[in-house]
Amino acid sequence: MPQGDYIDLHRKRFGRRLDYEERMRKKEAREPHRISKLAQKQHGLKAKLFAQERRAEKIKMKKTIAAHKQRDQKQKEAKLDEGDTPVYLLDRQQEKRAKVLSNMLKQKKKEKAGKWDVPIAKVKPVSEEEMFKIIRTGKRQKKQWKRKVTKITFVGEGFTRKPPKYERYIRPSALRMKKANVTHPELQATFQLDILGVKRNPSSALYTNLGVITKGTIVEVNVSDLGLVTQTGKVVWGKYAQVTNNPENDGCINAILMV
Amino acid sequence: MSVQAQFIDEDTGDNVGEMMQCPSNIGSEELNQILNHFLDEDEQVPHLFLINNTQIEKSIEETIKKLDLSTEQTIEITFRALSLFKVKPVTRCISTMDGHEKAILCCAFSPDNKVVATGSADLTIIIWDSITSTPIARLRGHTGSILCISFSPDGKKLASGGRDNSVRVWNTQDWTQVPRAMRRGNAKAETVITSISWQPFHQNPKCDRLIAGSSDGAAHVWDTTRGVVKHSLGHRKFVSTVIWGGQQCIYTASRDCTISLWDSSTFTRLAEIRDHAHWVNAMALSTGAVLRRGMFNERGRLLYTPEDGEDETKVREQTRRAAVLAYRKACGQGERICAGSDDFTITLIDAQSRKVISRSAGHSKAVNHVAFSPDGHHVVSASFDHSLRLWDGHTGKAIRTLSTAGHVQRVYLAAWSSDGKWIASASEDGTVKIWGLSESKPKHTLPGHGGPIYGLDWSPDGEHVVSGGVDKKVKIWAH
Repeated sequence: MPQGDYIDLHRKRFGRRLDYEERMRKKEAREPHRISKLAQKQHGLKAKLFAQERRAEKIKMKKTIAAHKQRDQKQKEAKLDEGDTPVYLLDRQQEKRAKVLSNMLKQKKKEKAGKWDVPIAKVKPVSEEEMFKIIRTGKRQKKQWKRKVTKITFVGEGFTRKPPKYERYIRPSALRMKKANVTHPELQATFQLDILGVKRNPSSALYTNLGVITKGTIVEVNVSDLGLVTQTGKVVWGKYAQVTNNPENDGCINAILMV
Repeated sequence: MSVQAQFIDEDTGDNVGEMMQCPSNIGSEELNQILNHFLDEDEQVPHLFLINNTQIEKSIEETIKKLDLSTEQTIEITFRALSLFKVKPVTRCISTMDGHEKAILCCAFSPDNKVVATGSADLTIIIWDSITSTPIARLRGHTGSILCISFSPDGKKLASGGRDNSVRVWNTQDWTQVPRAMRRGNAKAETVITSISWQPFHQNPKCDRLIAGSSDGAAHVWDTTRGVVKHSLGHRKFVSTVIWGGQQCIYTASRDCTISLWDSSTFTRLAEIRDHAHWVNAMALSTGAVLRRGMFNERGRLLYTPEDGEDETKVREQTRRAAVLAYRKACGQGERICAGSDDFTITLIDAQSRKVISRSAGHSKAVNHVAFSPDGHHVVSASFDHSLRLWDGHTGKAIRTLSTAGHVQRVYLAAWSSDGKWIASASEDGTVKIWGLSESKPKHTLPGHGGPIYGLDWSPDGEHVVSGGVDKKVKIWAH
């Protein structure tokens, strides 16, 4: 039996020391004293690393506190809004409309700025070597200007290929997709929606133009069936969604709607 | 005696029809028949006839004598078409008015069309001038959100009810509160006033009685001059709508699934209609438009214009008589009420026989609001299934569903134009839509609100539509 197991066994049989909880509490209470002492005493590289770590910790803590505070505030606001119902909606369940509205405004602002708050913020860039396969052409197979896209693409409706002589990028028809499984983050429901276009592939503008869909790509999807409405009362038609899986591995496109 | 006459169109100055020989003792009625024949009009369009800018009152002969014209010459009779009362559908927003600090929950035009009142969750009512779109007064006093407002049919008082379970009456001359908030002391704290209806003008020209329904199931009849309860009518649950009918009858609809008819002089229950299987949400009266207008006509003018120095009591009596006539004309064979319910159906009830004429299904979700057209021929119902439906106001048969290119969220309210040709609807999707009677798609869509619309009203003269909702803005729409 390994050494450590004996103590476990003993604990199981006889329990811990009677003052165990008390000692642990005291030890925990002394911890900040120990750390501050350490912070003052240390010097050199160790001190630098230590300070770095401690700073990150403090930032994290402050952020959590702020988040908690905000959550409390939101609840208060929601309570005040209860008086805002007309007679005919009294005692009826109501959707939280204000949230949708403010989100709509936020998205509009972001669209103007050309940035989105995306579910996957950091996307691993896809290199050209990975994306394209060089195709040798010419009588002697020595020309190397043709590329075949190795990822899923969206080509749009009514697309016809260029004549082979001029076609630099080949997008294989077996790797073309028209639909995406889009999840609405607030409703927690998934819909299969038509893709309208590729808005942005974060790896490169070239990929965007080619309509390549990789993980993290922002695609526009047709949400007319969901019955979302803009502020002006028109039915929303297209909405952006970010791809969350690796479509070339999975054989389907999964995405999260950006609301 | 006969004269030679020639019709001339006043607008164009052209001769209309042949020169004709006609007896000189005919009046404008006969002339109208001849003219409509000349003009090939299908309907009898009324016209006004003038000779040398003098209106023909009794006969041609009399007017000629008055003007001292020769009967040897051809008499030129100019005519002017008198338009039948017609409302143009509203198409644009003429003003957006800020002022409320919270959502607007109800709005109403005064019967003389001059002012709009909007009640809000910020505990105030704002009175706006409907022509200049400027605020006139801000009425403070309520201690809870304002849920319903109603102008008295003589236009001299405004009643409001709210979440503080009080009914307050405001004087429309100087916008002061008639002293004392009318509150029932023994009610529970969370009781709210849900609906207010004034006694019709032709029954009581003083306009000092109103009925207010509350969420604890009671409906109280208040004497507004003294601020005391005269009678109490009871349901078991939330009273959703109260209407004081024109035929000695009060109608109340409640969430206890019943509609009750009460005698308005003895306040005894005449009948209880238990046809609905779920909450009754809304109710409308076929003569509602004329009762609302009270002492005004559809153009917002007084039914009886007093002459100079006429005695006040006499004027009141004359106005009452005119109102009785107007009511009888609108009433026809009798009043009907229509109710919409959470069981997705609407019922049509004959108030005279107190029997249900029809119960019509069609909606796929709860019916939130019903409205009778001012002429009583149609009913429109607004539902949570995103559509409106048009029904026959006499038989209750379905005519049309108004849903093509329609609202994409719950429809809350519908309002008729005063000529009964257009319907405005307000929805959760933030748009007002205008519908005609002959099409199932909207004539106009009026976007602009930044959230659900809770209040909608079409002015009695048909010129303006007012709407207000979550975005705290009052919008006035016009043609």
